[in-house]
Amino acid sequence: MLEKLNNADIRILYVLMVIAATFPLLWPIGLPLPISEQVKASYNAIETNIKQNDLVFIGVDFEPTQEAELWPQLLAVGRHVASKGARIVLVNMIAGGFRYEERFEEVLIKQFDMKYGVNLLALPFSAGREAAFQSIVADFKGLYKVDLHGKTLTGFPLWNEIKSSKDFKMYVQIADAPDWWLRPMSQVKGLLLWNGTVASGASTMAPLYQSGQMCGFIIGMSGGAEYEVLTKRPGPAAAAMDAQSMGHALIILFVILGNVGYQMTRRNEAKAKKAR
Amino acid sequence: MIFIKSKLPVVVTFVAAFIIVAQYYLDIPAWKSFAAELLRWNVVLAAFALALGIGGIVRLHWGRISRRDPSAPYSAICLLSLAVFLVVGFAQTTRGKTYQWLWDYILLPVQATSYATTFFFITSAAYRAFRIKNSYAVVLMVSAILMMLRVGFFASVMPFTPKVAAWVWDIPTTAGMRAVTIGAALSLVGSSFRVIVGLERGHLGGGE
Amino acid sequence: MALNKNVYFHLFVLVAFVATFYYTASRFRQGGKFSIRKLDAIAKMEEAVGRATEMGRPIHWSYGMGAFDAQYFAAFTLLEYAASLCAKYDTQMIVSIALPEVVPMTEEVIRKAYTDAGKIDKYRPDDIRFWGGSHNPAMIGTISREQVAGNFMIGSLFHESILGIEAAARYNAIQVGGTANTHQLPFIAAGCDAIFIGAEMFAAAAHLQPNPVRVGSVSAEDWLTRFMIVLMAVGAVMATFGNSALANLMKR
Repeated sequence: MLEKLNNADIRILYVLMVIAATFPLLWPIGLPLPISEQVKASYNAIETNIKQNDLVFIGVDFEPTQEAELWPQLLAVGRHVASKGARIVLVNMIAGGFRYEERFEEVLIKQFDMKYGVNLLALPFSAGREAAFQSIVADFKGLYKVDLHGKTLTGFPLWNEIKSSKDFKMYVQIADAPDWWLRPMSQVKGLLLWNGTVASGASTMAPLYQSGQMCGFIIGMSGGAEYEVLTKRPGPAAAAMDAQSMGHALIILFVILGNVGYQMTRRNEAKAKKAR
Repeated sequence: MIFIKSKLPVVVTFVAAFIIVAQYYLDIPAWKSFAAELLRWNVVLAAFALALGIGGIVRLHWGRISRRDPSAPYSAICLLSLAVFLVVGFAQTTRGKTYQWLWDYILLPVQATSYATTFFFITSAAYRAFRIKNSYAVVLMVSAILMMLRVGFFASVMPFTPKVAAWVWDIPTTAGMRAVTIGAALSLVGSSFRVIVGLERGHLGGGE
Repeated sequence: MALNKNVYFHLFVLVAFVATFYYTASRFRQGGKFSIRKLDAIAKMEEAVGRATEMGRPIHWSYGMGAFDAQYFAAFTLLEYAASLCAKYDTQMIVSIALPEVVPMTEEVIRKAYTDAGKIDKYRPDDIRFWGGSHNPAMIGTISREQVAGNFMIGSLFHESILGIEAAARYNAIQVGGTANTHQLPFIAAGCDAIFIGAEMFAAAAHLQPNPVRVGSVSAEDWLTRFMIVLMAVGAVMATFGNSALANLMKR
């Protein structure tokens, strides 16, 4: 009987996972959410390093496929940067990210009373990924002529105040793909690098954070949720953590049950072999 | 013809790569500024590569429609969607209301749903792969479970798990990833060097 | 010469690599011996094609959705190998591509494989499918509709690795994965029958077609790796005693 757990119909698992994930989204349980040391350190990196009027890049480099993990991170971290009074320049190197850049720009203008062109700019999509970042390093002002909305950049006071990428204090990159932005940007002397990435990208970025090449690093929806709690603005990530916890619990249960079935199957096979 | 197909790409690759690589090592402003210009050209080229992709999609799906494949209706929907996005995009640019509506209410949910299938596939992968077959499988299983227990609700009821998971993360995992990264990076240097100097021409159909 | 003062160590490593490469390549050319350890993944690829031929089902190939980098060049060599096996055994091979710039190169590689096998008439350009942003559902759909007997996911893989692996697992396909993207290694390790981990993908080219260029490259990478290990060991000891001279030297 227990051997059947070794080869259970996978559709049953899928149905159970859907129920486990949907239930808390509709009826929130309110499970506790402790903050990890890494997220605290990343929060402090922005809290201590960013001062009023500092120039900060925020890279909005994710597509709709990563929205669930990275949009809450962008909101939480971006709001934190804005609350410090920084001047923000939004950049985008992923084709699908421009809508998130537009939406985030609206958030900053509405919630932090930022003035577009004075302390906020949104730059358009640049193709080429690493090559585009190399261009930012080599000749930032030469790469862009118009902003995200098609207006000439020279008409904005903030653009005229910027001379090069060296004027910036920090690059906050919210991206799925790990290191194609860090290699070029680490060449800019004095620029602090901060990264929010998806859970699967974490193992690639962890050595770079450990070696000090990045000053802050948060991972996935849990990182976004913890950051939301730290900034005292619980949002979509914190709300979804119940679902994530339930999903994890169910996966662990399936793994245990699968192993029980597997061991029973092996035992029965060994018995049958011995009987022969 | 042979020159255009196999020798010219090699020459262009070498010259362009040499300019970009050399500007990293040299401190000559004129060289850096020319390399920056070349990088901007690359940004334009990458954008044109998207147009190349559109040609590929049209070729594939039009072929299915003309052959009346069983999947022809889906190919027709694909080409229709492409045409709609192109027409609306050119007419309104990405700032137009219709374009943004299409993006927010059709493309975005479809792409998010496509990624959400990972939720199911991870479940079946975990169920299938995390079996105690040998020591490596045990290590994989225990590490995966620890990583799941270190966040959210579990971290609050089992406060030791974040500490243990952090140790597993910071020491053996990061060390292993660092080693793989260094090995892969050196291989990338070797591979790139061969392509740049024209010793590797497999992608041009020419071996080396 | 106006050299950038901050990259002396990088320049030294580059020059050392190039010098070692030419030295080992010339030694191999003069009849030197070269051995590379057995890569199970290559044998698995052959097994997969054999099984696909017996079952009359196709092989599926995907590079992943990552940006175009040197991993693709390693993947082209392995693709040529897989395509040559498919050409030899008259097995269909379907390629799913996410990046447009890779399409012409893929066509060249596969066309060459079929030409070398003397079966250019069997070459089917329609089996090379560019999907763009819809690569993932298209790949899952292809694998499910065609019920592939072998699934090769080699290149710059991202989250699509687990999707392709699980889709193919439903049909008990033999799966071979390979990537230098460390974040996907756990998934392909858990799901595939054999994998190329990082540098193995690049070394596989030298294993399949040893020639002075590839052997020289792999040998130079090997020597550089040994040098890095020595640096790390010496640096770790020095850092333990509070001396950061080596670390500072490497920053120059």
